[in-house]
Amino acid sequence: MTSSLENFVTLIRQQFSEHEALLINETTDIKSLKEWSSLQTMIIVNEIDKNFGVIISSDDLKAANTIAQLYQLVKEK
Amino acid sequence: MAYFTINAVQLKGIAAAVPKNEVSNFDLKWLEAGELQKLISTIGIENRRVADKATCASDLCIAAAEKLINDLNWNKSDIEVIFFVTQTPDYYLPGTSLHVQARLGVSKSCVCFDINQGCAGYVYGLSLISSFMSASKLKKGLLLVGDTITKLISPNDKSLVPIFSDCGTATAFSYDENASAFHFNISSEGQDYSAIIVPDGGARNPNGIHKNLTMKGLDVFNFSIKKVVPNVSDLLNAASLKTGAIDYFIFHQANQLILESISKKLNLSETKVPSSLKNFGNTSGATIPLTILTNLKNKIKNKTLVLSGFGVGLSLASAIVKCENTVCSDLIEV
Repeated sequence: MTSSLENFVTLIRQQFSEHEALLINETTDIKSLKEWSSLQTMIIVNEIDKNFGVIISSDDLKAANTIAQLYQLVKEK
Repeated sequence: MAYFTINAVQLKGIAAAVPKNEVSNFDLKWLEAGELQKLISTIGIENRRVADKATCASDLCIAAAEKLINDLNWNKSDIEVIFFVTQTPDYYLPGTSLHVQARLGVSKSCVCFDINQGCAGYVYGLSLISSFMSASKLKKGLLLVGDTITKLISPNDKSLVPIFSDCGTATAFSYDENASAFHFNISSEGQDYSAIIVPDGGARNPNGIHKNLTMKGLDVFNFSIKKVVPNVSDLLNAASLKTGAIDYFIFHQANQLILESISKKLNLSETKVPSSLKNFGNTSGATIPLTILTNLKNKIKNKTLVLSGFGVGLSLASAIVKCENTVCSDLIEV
């Protein structure tokens, strides 16, 4: 795992409870997490925008089956 | 960019009325304590006002208008224009503005319009009434903007219930050739019409069962954080003004996350961006005048404001307005 991807996974982890964060790694599909919700989506999209200047769409989220794929999408935007 | 200026109309006063019934998001039953705290801190909304079954947007707006007319010492017989902006009209037809004209006891020599707009509705309405009064030279007009939007929300909708709240407002204008110009920048993203929609009950789907408001939350969030900033920046550039020349930026109160994101992208200090979210939530088109009244009541004399509304449509409307001796009435409860 590259350090940038590591940072991205850490950013995603920080948006969840400590308990849920323990379950998150680069292969996780965030949409499958128990705490995933419309509010959580908005929070994560906002954090990605703040940190990477990239706005993720609902289609992007559907297309990304893992956090690593989501990171790749962010890098390509 | 639909940028334009309107001359010779003065913003004379603002009033607002909210339902007495206050509900707290801390009482929401379906979330555990940690989730509830996260929700409230993210959206910035602790309390909301919810109208009872008998109270419509028109009732709230009429209460606000009565208060404002009294505070301005206006004669009702002098009011020649009423524009009513709502998405919760009293009836499918006729337009609510006509009924309001009679209920307010305003002269029959009065032009009445209804405008179907939501979160961008205050600035849309401002652009329309000022354009009309500037062209017609009619002397006094009222812009009524209000919604009882909670009536359109399913009590089981966990995403929307914590956000929305009810309010009616009245804003008074007079024809005045010495008034500072209003500047506007308005745009429309009609391809995203279904992002916020009540899908059934209109002529398109009269017999459908989905008569509650639905919202594609992420699409609306992305629209807000992507489109509002360039709309406001373009408006300022077109008016040859920098952000430092603006005393306050009053944005539609969608939620705290959106408000913070927009403020940060425009590099605005918190003191210039008032919020009424904590105690009044998202009151649809009424948020801008309600935020002025609850935060800036005695602070807007001779101040220059940017007003920016965005939402259902999807629509986006921003304005630069100079307040001279604008009267701000006390908030009233109905």
